[in-house]
Amino acid sequence: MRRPLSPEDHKISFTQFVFTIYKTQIGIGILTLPRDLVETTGTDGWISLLIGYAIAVTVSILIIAAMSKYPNDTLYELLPRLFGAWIGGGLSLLWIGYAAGGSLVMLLWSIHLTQVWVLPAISSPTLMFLFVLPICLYTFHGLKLVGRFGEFVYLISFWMPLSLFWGLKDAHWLNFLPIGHNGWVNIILAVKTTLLSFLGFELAFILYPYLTEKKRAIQGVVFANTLALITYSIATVISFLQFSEETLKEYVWPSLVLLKLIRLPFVERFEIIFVALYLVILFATIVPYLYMAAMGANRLLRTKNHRYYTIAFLAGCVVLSVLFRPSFWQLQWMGRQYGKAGFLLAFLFPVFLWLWGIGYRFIRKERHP
Amino acid sequence: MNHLSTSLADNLETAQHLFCQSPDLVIRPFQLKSEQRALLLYFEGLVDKVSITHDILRPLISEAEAIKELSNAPVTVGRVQTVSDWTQVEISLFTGKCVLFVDGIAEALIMFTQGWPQRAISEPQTESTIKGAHQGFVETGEQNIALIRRYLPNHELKLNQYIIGKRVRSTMTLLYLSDIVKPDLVKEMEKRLQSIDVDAILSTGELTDYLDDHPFNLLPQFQTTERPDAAVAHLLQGRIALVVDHSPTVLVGPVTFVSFFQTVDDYSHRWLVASFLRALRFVALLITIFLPASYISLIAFHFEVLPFKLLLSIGESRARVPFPPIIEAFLMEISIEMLREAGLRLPGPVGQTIGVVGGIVIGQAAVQAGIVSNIMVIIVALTAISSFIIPDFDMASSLRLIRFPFMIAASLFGLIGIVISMLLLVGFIMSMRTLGIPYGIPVAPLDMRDWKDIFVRFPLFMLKQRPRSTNATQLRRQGRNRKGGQGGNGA
Repeated sequence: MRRPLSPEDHKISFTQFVFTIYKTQIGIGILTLPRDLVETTGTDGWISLLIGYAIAVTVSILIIAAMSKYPNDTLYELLPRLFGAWIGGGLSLLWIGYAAGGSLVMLLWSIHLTQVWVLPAISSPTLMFLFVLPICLYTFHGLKLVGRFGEFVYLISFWMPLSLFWGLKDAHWLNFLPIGHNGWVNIILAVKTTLLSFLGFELAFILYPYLTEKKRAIQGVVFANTLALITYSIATVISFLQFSEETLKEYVWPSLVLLKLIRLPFVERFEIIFVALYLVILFATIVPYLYMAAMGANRLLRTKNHRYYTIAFLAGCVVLSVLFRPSFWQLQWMGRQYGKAGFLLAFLFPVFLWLWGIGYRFIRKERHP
Repeated sequence: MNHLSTSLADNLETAQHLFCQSPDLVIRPFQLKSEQRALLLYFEGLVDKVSITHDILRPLISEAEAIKELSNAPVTVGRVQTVSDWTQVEISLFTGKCVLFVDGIAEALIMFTQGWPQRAISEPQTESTIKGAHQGFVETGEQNIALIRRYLPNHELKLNQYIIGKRVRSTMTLLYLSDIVKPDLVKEMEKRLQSIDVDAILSTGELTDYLDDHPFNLLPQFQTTERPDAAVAHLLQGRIALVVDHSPTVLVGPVTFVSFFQTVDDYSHRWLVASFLRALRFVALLITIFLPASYISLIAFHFEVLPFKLLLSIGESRARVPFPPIIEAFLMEISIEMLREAGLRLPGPVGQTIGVVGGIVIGQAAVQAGIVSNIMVIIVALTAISSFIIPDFDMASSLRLIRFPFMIAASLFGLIGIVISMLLLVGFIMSMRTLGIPYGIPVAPLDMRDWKDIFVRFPLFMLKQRPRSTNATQLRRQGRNRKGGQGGNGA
């Protein structure tokens, strides 16, 4: 195995910070989001999206606020510092499990997506083996490559949400009216769905210490969340314009169904190519989470190289794909569990951490004035 | 036995012993006018004989008084040097200098009378240009340095010389603009050059194997150029150039992936035309890598993507072909690579014949015989043409190789195979460094300030700063030209 990475290998720039978070936020969720929203609140989902955005931004800023007092600590150094070795270690373990679980769920979903849309005949172990190769490469080289990957993915995929505009050809603007016809309670209930779409900003926990321009960190998380909001809005609003509530409920992948409307003179079923390319975006979600987990394990066990854990995890994934082939319902169940964990760890935990940090510093000041 | 002796007879004996079996060594004993005995040694063919007759032998024989100090010898050669040991005498003789021994002095006078056979300066073969200069480098290091100096008469142009190769002892000259280049870059290059321990470096290409950061990677990590104006353009952007004696190509670094798609000619065209050409090259890059692979995957796995009519015509053309598309593609790709290589190695007129035989006879006959389909011939031809659009020969060759793994992946896993291969390729590009510079800059890591001169070329007066991808210490390239938009420079 090659040399361990030095801190220099992890420095990331502002754009890398923004795009890594943004591309982690955009994952499998956007493909199903319009239907998930319609199920709870009908075409008023866009209001829930805005509320979800506001909460996500607030929590992201709290993360930066909590981290900024200890600018050189990642989450895995901060936890033992604030909570002591044992509780801190336990919390680290929780985060490692969450990040590793997140990347596993995403990997399984990617395989499912590929089998449904692109290559129905291919076996899951083969796909898993193929997917593991680039993921391994990207995770190996540390945050620098993770950041560059985020930038690259942004550059080659910025046309993707724009291609959805094709669906505007015969839009029904009346679909939106009347606003609030499903009741405000439902709108609030749907916020939880939208919150999960914004998961990914918690990466700031490990990215922030390596950011070169720390002063712009808050600006960075706001940018990333806003980019995610714009992308989600395009997908949901155009789906609502194109399909009625009842139709939308029947589609499993409404955003991809939108792409079926695209007919180019030389390409008939554009969505197949789109889904193949969309894998790149899914990998941009898997890689940062996997790195977050591997890095945490590395810190927790005080070893020098995160690559052992990466290899162990990915090898485990390949073995798992041979033994177990999840059905769609099992995948959905896993997604829900991951969502619950994400809600606890990414939304509630930063608030708690921020308050705890303030209390901790206050008490220490009292003791050692 | 390393030092020279005061006795001329001893020196003669040593020389004969050292250079036995060298019939081209001329040993010329003669007497000065003052009847002091002297000895002139040189290798025939490596020296300028006229200069030896006129500037050395004639003055020494006809007018020289007794010589006490060699540096005062009455020779009319521009550059001379006194040495006192045999190693240096040997090196000087082999590099085309002539050596004078005088009886009673334990030193030798080296006179720089090189005049070996060399090629005239001609138009570069691999980098031809329409509007740029038509001079190319030759095989003599000093000439090449002179060509660069002609373009860049500036005292900041510094030259560091190194001798590399235990047996061949080639001179390498590192050129850089000392106020622009980052000092670390020169140090790093120096370190790498000095750590090379080999018998011989005969060409610039050999050197890259020793200098590359990632020797096992397929992509070129140094640019080579045959054109002095290109070398100077690189120097002005804050890069370093390495002139290798014996080789008509100059090594330039640090380079990034995108810099292989730029040529000096881009700056002599008008900017819109140049931008179009730049964009065309990147399209060619995509076609070279992805077109055959995409075709294979679409035919073998995802035919539903194609519109029905297109599918019909492809099916018609493939109806008689007994092979799966990957074998068809490999047959054609390999035969076109062979044709290319054959055309390259054969003398000009014969090479053209090969082109005709290959292109028309094999292509047409193979289609009629039902071995390959018409569409595959079109795809392969298009791929070949686009790979020739890429201006850098090394990069074009690497990309031609890279498309084979893409084709295999496409035939096994369809579009997914292509996407995975692309991710691996991009991952390697992004993780590479050349001389401390990320290979993927300015795309990933992203630096929008450099984008003015990559996929398009902005008008020159808007390129106010040097590219940041070279880590140059001094960025200012020009002041504000064309103020107010319309008039000429400040008019």
